Amino acid sequence: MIILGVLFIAAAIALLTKDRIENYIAFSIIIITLETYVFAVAGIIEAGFWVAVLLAICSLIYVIIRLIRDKLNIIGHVFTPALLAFCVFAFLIVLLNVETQAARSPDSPFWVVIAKGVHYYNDFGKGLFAKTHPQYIAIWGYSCMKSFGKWSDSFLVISNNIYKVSILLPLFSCLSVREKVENKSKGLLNNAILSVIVFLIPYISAAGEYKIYAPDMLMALLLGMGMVMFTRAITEEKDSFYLVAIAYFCAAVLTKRIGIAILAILLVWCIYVLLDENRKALIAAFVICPILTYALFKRVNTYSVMVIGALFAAIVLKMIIEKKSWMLNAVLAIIAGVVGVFGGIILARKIADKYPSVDHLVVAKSFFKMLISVDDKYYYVGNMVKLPVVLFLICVVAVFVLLERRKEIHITKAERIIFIGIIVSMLIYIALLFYLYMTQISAATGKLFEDSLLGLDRYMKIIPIIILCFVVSIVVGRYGKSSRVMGILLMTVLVISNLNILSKDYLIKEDNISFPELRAGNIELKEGTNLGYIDMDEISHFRFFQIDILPCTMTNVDELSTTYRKANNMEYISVDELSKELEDCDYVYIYSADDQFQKLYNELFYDKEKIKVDRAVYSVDKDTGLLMLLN
Amino acid sequence: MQIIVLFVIGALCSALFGRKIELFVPPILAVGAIVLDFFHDYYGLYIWAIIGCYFGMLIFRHCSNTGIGWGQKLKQFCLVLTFMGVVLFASIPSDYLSAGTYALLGLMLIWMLEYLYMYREEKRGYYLICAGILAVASIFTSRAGIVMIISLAVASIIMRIVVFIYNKGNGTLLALLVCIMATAIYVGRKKLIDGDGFRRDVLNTFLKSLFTTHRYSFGRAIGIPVLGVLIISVLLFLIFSRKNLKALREIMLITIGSVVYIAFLCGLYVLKFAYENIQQGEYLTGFENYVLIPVIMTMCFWGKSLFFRIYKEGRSR
Repeated sequence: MIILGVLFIAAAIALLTKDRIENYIAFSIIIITLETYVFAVAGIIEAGFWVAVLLAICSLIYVIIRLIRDKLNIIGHVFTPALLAFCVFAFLIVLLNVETQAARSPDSPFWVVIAKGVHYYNDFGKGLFAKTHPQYIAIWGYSCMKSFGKWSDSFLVISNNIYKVSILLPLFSCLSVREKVENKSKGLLNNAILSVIVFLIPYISAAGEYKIYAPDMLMALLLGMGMVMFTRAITEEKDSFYLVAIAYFCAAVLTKRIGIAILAILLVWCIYVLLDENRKALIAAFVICPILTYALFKRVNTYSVMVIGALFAAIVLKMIIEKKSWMLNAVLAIIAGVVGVFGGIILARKIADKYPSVDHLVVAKSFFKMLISVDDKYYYVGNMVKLPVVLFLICVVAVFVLLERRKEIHITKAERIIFIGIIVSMLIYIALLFYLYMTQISAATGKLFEDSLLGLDRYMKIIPIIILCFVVSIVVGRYGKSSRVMGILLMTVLVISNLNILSKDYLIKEDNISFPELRAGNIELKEGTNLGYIDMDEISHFRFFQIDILPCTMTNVDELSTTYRKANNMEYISVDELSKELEDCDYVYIYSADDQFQKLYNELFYDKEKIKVDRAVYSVDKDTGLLMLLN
Repeated sequence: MQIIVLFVIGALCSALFGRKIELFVPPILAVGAIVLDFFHDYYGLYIWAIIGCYFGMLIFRHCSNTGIGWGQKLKQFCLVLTFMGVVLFASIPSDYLSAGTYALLGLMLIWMLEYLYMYREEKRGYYLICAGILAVASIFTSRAGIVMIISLAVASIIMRIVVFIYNKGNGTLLALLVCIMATAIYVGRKKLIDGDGFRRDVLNTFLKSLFTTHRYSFGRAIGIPVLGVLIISVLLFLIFSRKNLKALREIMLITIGSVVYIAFLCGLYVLKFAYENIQQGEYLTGFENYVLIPVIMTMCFWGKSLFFRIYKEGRSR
C-alpha cells in the first residue's frame, strides 16, 4: 500500500516542479524512508511510518485538486509511459516473487534478519546486527510490511525490487528531453524497448536480482543513477535534479557500509564540475548531506572524512588541471609517486605482518586473473558474450569515444568529465577491493571456505551497473528518437545480461524450506527461546531456520555441518563439545544427520532406541542435558 | 545416378514452367533425398553437403543481377561455396551424419520462405507449390520440421499483432498483452512444472543449454550459445542495415520464429521427449541438432544479405 502512497507523493512533486513523475518515484521512496529513519533513531519508528502515510494522503489531495483544476496538464506530468512501464514492472516482479523465500538471498542472515527484527520489535535498535549494518533498506521494508499488515518474505523482496526499478525510471525522461517524439507509434516502440532495457539492467552480470533481498545492486543503481541525475541537472539546467542526485547519494551511503567510500570517490568529479560552474552552495550540499545522513547510522565515524577528502581532492585536481604549470604538476607528480611507492611498501609490509594466515600471492594472482580473463569461479561481465572486467572497461571507453566523435550528438564538457571520473573511480574502487581482499576479507573467509575471493561477484557487479547507467542515459538522451539505435542498445543489453538466471527465476520455482515440526505439539516459541540447530546436509539450511524462528534465537552447531568439516578438514566433535554447545538451548532441531551422528552422540538422547534425525524436534532437559523427542 | 535423375526432373519442371532451372531443382532434390532415404549412411553426408551448397548458392544467386558475366559468376560461385563451407563448419557441432539432416532442414525452410516472398512479389502459383513441396519435405524429414513451420506461422501472427499495436500507438494495450502473457506463462509453470522434480530438472538443463555453450556452441573457437547467435545476428543487422524494411521483416520473422521454435522445443522436451530420452541417460538427446535449424536459417539470411549487398554495390559501381 505504501507503494501507492509513494506514487501519490511522486505525482505531487512532479506537478509542483512541472516535471515528469518518473524522476521522482525513487526520490519519494528515499524521502519517506529517510524520514522514517530519523524517527527510528529517535526511538519512535512507528510515528515515522504514520508521517509517511500522512504525506501520501496530503499528496493525493493535492493531486486531486490539480486534476480537477487543470486536467490536461496533469496527464503529461503524471500519466507518462514510464508510469505504465512501472506498473508492468511491478506486476512482473510480483509474479516472479510469489512464494519467494527471502532466506535464499546472499547474506540473508544479516539483511533479512535485520528487516524482520525491525518489523518484529517496531524498533530498529533491538534486532540482531542492528549496529553493524546501516538499516536503510530494512526501514523501507518495514514501511512496506507495516502497510501490508503482516510479515511476508515475498512482499519484502517485492518491495526491494520495486525500489530497484524505480531508481532507473528517470531514464524514461531522457527519451523526451532533446527531441519530442512526435510519431505516436515510434514513441511507443522506443518506450517499449527502453522498458525492456530498464528491466534487464539489474540482471547485467548479476545473479537472480529480482528474486533476492540484498543491498548491493540497490547501492550500485543509486550511485549510477545519482551520477546520471547530477549530469542531467547540469546539462538540462534543472535544479530539482540536483536534489534528486543528493537524495540518491544519501540513500546509497545508508544502504551499505562501503557506499560512503564509493560515493567519496565519485564525488570528487561532481565537485570538480561544480567548481567549474562556481556553485558553492551546491558543493556544500553535496558534501554535508551524505555526512549528515551517514551520521544517522554512526554518529562518529572516520569514513565520513572521506567525503571531505573528496572535496580537497577535487580542489587539488582543479588546481593541477587549470593552472597548467608544469613545475607545479611535476612537483605534485613526484610527491604522489614517492608517497605511492613508499606508502605501498609500508602497506605491503604491514599487511604481511597483520594477516599472516592469508596467502597473499595466491589472492593477488586470483584477483588479477579475474580482472583480465573470463573466470567462471569469480567474476566476468556479460553472459552469452563474456568479457573480463578490463576488456569491458576498454569496450565502454571505446563506445564513449565513438559517441564523442559524432559531432551531431554533442557530448558536453560536464558529461565528458563525469564519464572519465566514473571510469577512474571504478579503477580506484578495484584497487580498494584488492586491498580489502588482501587483508580483511581473505582473513575472514579464507579458512572457512578455502576460497579467498569469496563474494567478489557481489562487489564487482557494482562496476558495470554504475558505468552502464551513465552510458545508457547518454545514448537514450541523444538517440531516443532512433528506433534503430534503441534496438542496438537493447540487443547489447540482452547479450550482456544474465537471461539464463532471469528465465530460471521465472520458470523454475525452488522448493520452499520450512519447519512445520516446530509449530506442532507443545513447543513454545517466544522471545528469548533458544533453539539448537543441527544440519548435516550438503548445504546447510540454517539461514532459513534462523529467519523462520525469529524472534527466537538459535545456536547453529556449524562444526557438524558438511561445509565446515570439509573446509577445515575436521572430524566429528566430541560428545562433551556438542553437549556444551547445546547446554543453553531450550529445544534442538535436527534437520538431517547421518548414521555416524547417531552412533557417536546416542548418549545425549533420552531414548537411545528411538533417535530421529530427519527433521526432528527435541526438548533439552535442563537438569540432565538429555534430548527428549517431541516431534 | 539417383541425383542425376532428380536433377533431370527438376530441369523438366523448369522447362515446363519456362523458368530458370535453379527454381525447381532444390525442392525436387530435397524431396528425392528424403523419399530415397539418403541419410542413413555415410553416402548421405556427401548428398546433404551437395544439396546444402546448391541451396546456398541458389539463395545468393537469386539476389544477384542475372546480367553478369561468366567471370563474375565464377567469383560468385566460389564466394558462395566458401561462405557455405564456413557456415556449415561453424554451425555444426560434431556428428556430421545426423547434423546433416537438420542443416538441410534449415536450408529447405529458408528456401521455403524465399519462395513465399517470391510468391508475394510476383503472385505466381508455382512458387507457392514449390514452397508447399519444401514444407512437406521438411515435415517428413524430422518432427523438428513440423515444429519450425508452426513456429514460423506463429511468428508471422505475432508480427501482425505487433504491427497492429505499433500502428495504433497504444501503450496500454501492449502493457496489457505483456501482463496477460506473463500470467499465462506463470499459470503454465504452476500447473506443469511446480512440484515435479523431473520436469524441473529437464527445464533447468534446457535453459542451461540454451544460454550457455553447455550442449551447443556456434563457432569452434569463439563459442556462442544458440540464443546468442540469434541476438547477435539482430544486433549486427541493426548496426549494418540502413532502413531496409523488407530485410528487417525477414530477419524478425526468422528470429521470432526461432524463439517460438525454441519455446516449443522446451515444452516438448519437458513434457514428452525427456521421458523417452532418459532411457539413454540424458534429457536433451538431439538438442544440438534441433537448434541447428534456426542457426542455419539465420546464417543463410546473412549470406543472402551480404551477397545482395556485394552485388548491389557492384552493379552501382
